[in-house]
Amino acid sequence: MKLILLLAWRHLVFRPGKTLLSALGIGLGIATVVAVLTVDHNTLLSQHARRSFTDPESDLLIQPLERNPAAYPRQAAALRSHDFLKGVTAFATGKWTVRSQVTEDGPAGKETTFRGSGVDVMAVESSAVDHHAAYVVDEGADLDFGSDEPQLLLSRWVAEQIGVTVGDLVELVRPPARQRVVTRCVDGKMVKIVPGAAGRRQGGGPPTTDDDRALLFRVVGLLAPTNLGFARHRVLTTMSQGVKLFGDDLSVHFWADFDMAAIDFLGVEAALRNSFTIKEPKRALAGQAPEEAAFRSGVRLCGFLALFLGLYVIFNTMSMSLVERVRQIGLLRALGVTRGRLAGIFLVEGGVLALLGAGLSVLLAERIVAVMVAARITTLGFGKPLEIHEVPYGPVVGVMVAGVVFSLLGVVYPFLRASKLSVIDALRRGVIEMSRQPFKGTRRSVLLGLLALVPVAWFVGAPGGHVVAQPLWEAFLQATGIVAGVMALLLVFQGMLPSAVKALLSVFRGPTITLAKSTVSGARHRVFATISGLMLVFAAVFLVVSVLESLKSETRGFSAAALDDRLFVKLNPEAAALSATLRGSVPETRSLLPINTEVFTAFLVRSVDARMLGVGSLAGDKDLTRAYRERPTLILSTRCADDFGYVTDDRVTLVTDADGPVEFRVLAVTDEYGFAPDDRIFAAVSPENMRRYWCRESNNQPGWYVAWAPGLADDDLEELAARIEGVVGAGRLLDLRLGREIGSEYLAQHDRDFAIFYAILVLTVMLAAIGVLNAMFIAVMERRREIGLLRAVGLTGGQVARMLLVESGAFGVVGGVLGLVLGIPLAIIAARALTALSHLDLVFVLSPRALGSVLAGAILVAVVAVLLPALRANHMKLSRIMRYE
Amino acid sequence: MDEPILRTQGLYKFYGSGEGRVPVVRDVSLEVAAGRFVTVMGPSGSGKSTLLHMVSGLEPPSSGTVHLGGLDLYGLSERRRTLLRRDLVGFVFQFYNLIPNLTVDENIRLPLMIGAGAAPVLAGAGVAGGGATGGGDSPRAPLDHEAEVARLVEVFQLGDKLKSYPHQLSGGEMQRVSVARALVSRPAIIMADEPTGNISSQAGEEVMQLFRRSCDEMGQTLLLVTHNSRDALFSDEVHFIKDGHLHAESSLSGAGVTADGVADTLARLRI
Ligand SMILES: Nc1ncnc2c1ncn2[C@@H]1O[C@H](COP(=O)(O)OP(=O)(O)OP(=O)(O)O)[C@@H](O)[C@H]1O
Ligand SMILES: [Mg+2]
Repeated sequence: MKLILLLAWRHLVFRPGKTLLSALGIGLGIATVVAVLTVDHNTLLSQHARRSFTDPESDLLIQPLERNPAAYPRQAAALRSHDFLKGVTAFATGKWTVRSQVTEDGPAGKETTFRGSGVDVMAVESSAVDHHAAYVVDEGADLDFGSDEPQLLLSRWVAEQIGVTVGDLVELVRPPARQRVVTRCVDGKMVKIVPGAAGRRQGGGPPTTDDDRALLFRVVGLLAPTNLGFARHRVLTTMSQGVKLFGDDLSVHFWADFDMAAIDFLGVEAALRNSFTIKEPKRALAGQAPEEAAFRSGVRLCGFLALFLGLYVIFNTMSMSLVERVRQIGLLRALGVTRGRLAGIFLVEGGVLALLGAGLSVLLAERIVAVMVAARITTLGFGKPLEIHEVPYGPVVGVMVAGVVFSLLGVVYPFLRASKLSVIDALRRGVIEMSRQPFKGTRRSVLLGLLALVPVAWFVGAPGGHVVAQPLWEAFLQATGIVAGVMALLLVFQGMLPSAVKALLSVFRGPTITLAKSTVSGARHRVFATISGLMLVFAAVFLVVSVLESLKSETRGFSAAALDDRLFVKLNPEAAALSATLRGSVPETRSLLPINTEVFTAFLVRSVDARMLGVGSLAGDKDLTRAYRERPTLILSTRCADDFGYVTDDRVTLVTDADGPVEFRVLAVTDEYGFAPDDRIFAAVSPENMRRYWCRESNNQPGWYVAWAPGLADDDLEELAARIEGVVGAGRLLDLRLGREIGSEYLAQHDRDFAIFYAILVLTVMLAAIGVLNAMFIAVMERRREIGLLRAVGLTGGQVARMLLVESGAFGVVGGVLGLVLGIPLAIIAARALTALSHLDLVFVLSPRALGSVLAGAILVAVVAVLLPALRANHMKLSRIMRYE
Repeated sequence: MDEPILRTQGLYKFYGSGEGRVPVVRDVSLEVAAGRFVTVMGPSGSGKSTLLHMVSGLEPPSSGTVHLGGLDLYGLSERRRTLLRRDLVGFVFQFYNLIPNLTVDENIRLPLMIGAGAAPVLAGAGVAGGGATGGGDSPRAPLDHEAEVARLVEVFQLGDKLKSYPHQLSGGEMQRVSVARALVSRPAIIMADEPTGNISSQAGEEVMQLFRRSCDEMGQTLLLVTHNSRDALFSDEVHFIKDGHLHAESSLSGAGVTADGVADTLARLRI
């Protein structure tokens, strides 16, 4: 044991540079992944934290299309039959007057209403509190959902108003009819309706509720002022009481969560579409909108990639550092140290390094996270709220353990190789070479195993069916297959790499080149480790840059359709009234049309003047324009159509204010109409339909207006902008943006959103650099005698440095080219997976930028990483080298 | 006579493969009796080192057997072979092979550290333990390691170098350290590959005298490989190897080991 510790300790301390580098490599590898995990976890937490605390904690608010009180149990059962929905909870509301009970001898009951229209009585199912934490009971007990006794929970305010407390009886009374007047949208007009009169138009059922009948309830508890209890005038009861209480007016909604690992929001929407509509889906979309989901998948994939690369670099760092010590292994074995004990020495050493690295990774990860928080880089893109609430210790510890294990594997693997050599071979050679038989060796078996695994995994399918989205799983398998395939090729034809490097070097002449060439053929292991590391990292670089470019080209396509030749103006209410005047006084603004009226059903529906259809791809289609104006029809944006899976002529059921669910026909799918600078998922309906079905007027509303004149140059638009400003006055012009500007903002936003990928990439590139650095240091150490000898016979330090630089540069070129070879198929796979995941129409673009950054980056990293070892070689003490050993 | 401590039979070693396959050691059969000082002489490239490596268990032969301490060396597992080496053999490498990260003192003590606390695994091997046949030391008797280290340091004049690292030593000093390392645990058999190759003739003579004394006083066995005829004169037996072939008929022993005898044989074998 003493010997083990002594040797391990000396080796770590006598080569502090190497020790630190290795630990840094391990630390950085782990830290990268830990940082990504932590940021991702907290991005979601931060999104969550933004949820209003006045609401129950539920992902979805679901409304049945059929408004029939009797259908409630069937609807609930239908929802509960979906596995992906959790905590399906029905609730219904109504306005009632609460009155303290009139006792025979006591004073007359005090009653309370709220703003003259009763308090909100809400009937809920038990899962409201069990699953959604919709309320908290402050005093008294919770409702007994099993019992038939009429029970109530009151907000403290209500209780104080009428002077009751827990245990008292209260009466619920319908407010007088005049207080129950509701406005309804009827034929484009908001109409006041008194329930009981027009309310029961058909007169189908007998009047169930006597308007003035009082219902007696027991107050079982008081609500804490949070979630549902936050509203001052809140009264809760059980759903079974609610059914009786609301009678024919019962209108049931549902809260539900969905299993985000199993399905995304669109999947939920599609599954429910026929009988339900999802209201306020925005709440569910925290990290769930398709783009966001795709983005996070991308980030997680990238993090996974970083983990893989990190472990690979860690493995190679450790294994290469052992390679140079084969002579020592040989000597110790010659002196009678058994393999087991030898393994002990190296494991202790590797373990210390790995732990050092893991420790370092904590500091590094903390810094990286801090930088990301400061730079507002989140896993949902740029500028989303991000506070660090907690560290996801489980995965973090997992990653650390993986890092340590791979470090140790990196030690054990070459050790096994080294101890297979005869003692004398080990002593003589001083290095181990990769085995020359193509189908032998641990590394090969691992790779071939991986290759074999891909088809098996393909047939078996994604783990747990829904844990990984199918497209992502397929992409992952394809990528794994390709990476393993390329690596296996390199291993089987391992002469390829040194030959390629030598061929490259042949371009140059001189003694240093000859030397570099000779050393390259003698160091297959190092060449392989260095180049494959560079290849993997830069394939990842290529992948990310390509995906970004694809995304940008998609955005450019959208810009061309929805933004170019347009001017967006946001007017305040008074100026909005001027818009008609504007159209007259500034001739080019004929098309200055409002796009400001919106309703939210499953998606955003915006009113767009039919005159807009006079421009663009639908121009001239009279029938279409008439249908747009007169029939229930709509035009979908491309992303809306893709996301929700609609095509032209499909019927889309929207819940209207006037007639409940109405089928709208899809007239066209295009981005040209109805775009406002904040949302790409929308439908355009005519102002006539907006009025007819939702009773909303387009004119004289504040908000966005668009001027669209095809062929107008930017200069013309700017001049136009100036004139509009002149007419309405600067103060009333809230915002004014050129379409093209918005387009470039989108593009810039992509760049900012991709900051996280670049952050991860920079870290892995650094990791690769450390790998190269290590490899070249080892090269220098391996060759110290040779270098010393060359120096002794007259090679200058500069020449030695040049030799290393040239060699490493050649590694960079080969690594970069291979990175492209690997990166292109990976990028194609990624673009396809993202298209499937996000419904974005991503097409792989071979951009010069991606090509350039990969080649230049690989060479740069290789050359920069060799500077330090070159310097070292330059300053080596000749006497020491020549006497060493 | 007792079972020899080392016996080889029909030992062959080939390097290379196919056409380039050449025998470096050919059909070598050699016996070394315990307590003897045996030298193998031969020109450079004759296969001396290769032979020594094979008999010490460092490199397996292509064919033939080696019995060390009565055990079939290559019939043993790798682990037991290693332990046998640890317990039985002291090896002086032609290229000293010191551990660069350890001081002179630590390099000398390396075998002690390796053996520390471990029971001699092959005690039953019959000849295990230093000086079993003479001297009076019982096998692995609680040897005073400190005294032994001090003695070797004294003999090799390494007293002021103990804290130095190998790269701070002269070639001769490194050579001496590697000899001291081979001796420190009092192995039953010492195998030395040109131990005087890099030191002055005077220092070389001291090393040889020390070997001689180890043999005479401690009953250790010595197997020396050299091309230096003066070294050979210290031994009980001299064997000659040329082109990998051991010329057994020309071996000298006992009173036959003289400067003239060696010179004659070398001349006759055209070495
Ligand atoms: N690993 C090897 N591969 C191929 N040939 C080898 C190998 N090791 C040794 N040889 C060859 O075997 C022959 C004998 O080598 P060996 O080292 O045993 O000679 P030696 O007698 O010890 O010489 P010297 O006195 O110079 O040390 C040499 O010709 C050498 O080239
Ligand atoms: Mg030799």
